[in-house]
Amino acid sequence: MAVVYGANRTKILDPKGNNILDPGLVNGRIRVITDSYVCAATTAGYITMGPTLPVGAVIMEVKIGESITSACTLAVGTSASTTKFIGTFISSLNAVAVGPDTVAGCNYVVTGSSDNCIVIRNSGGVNATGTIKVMVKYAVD
Amino acid sequence: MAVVIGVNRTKALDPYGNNLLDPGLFSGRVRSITDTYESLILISGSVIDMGPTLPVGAIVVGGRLATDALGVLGMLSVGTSAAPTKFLAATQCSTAAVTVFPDTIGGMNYVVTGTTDNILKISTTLGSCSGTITLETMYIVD
Repeated sequence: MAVVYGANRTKILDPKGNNILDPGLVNGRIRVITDSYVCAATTAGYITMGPTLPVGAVIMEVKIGESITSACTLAVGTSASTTKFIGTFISSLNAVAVGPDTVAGCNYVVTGSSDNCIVIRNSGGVNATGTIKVMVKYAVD
Repeated sequence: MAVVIGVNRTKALDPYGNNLLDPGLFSGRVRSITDTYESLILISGSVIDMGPTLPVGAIVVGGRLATDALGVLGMLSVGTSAAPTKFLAATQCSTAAVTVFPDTIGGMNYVVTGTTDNILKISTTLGSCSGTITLETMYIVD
């Protein structure tokens, strides 16, 4: 049976030059953002949540909870990729969705001004009424 | 297309007076509680207190309930004394499983307010439970 190494473990085993890991990739301290928005027949569009994330932040987990009374098409991501962390799903009253749900959003590293805010997209053309909550875990150091 | 802003981000963009955010809302440090209970025969209606007393203001951001196969009818919920299903509604535990919570928006980012919601409680809601019950909970206070 073959034994191979992950990208970061490979660097840890030979820690010099470019192999020195960025902060937070191993033994990172987890920080949390929480935010909420009360939709009052909010039209389709975007809700920007939480602070501006620092470049280099590694996104570990994203949760969205909603009590939307109509069937809205929601997704969670960034302005550059609005489905980066949780792909489109139909809101169902009093539910929680957990992400990242794709490998692209798993351990995603923030790179600049187009991906440093958490964005919720309502794309189905249905107005949203109710509360949306977001929780994001990330590591920077 | 409308672009709107969350409650806390709105305050962060205009940070004075009442807009100053409570500790932990942005860049909060995650703390964890783990606790285990070895159940011999725990009848329906029993309550297991888990972990320390949480401080007022602590924000519960999620966790996991892990159990053995507890019995044919074994069902557990996770919450507080004020709301026994705050974080996890009654869940069938007849097979070994790990269940992530919260499962409703009411338990998401829940802020501890006083003496009726500052201890994590697992309730047995149906049947009797035998086996290992483990609770992991993440929260932030600063």
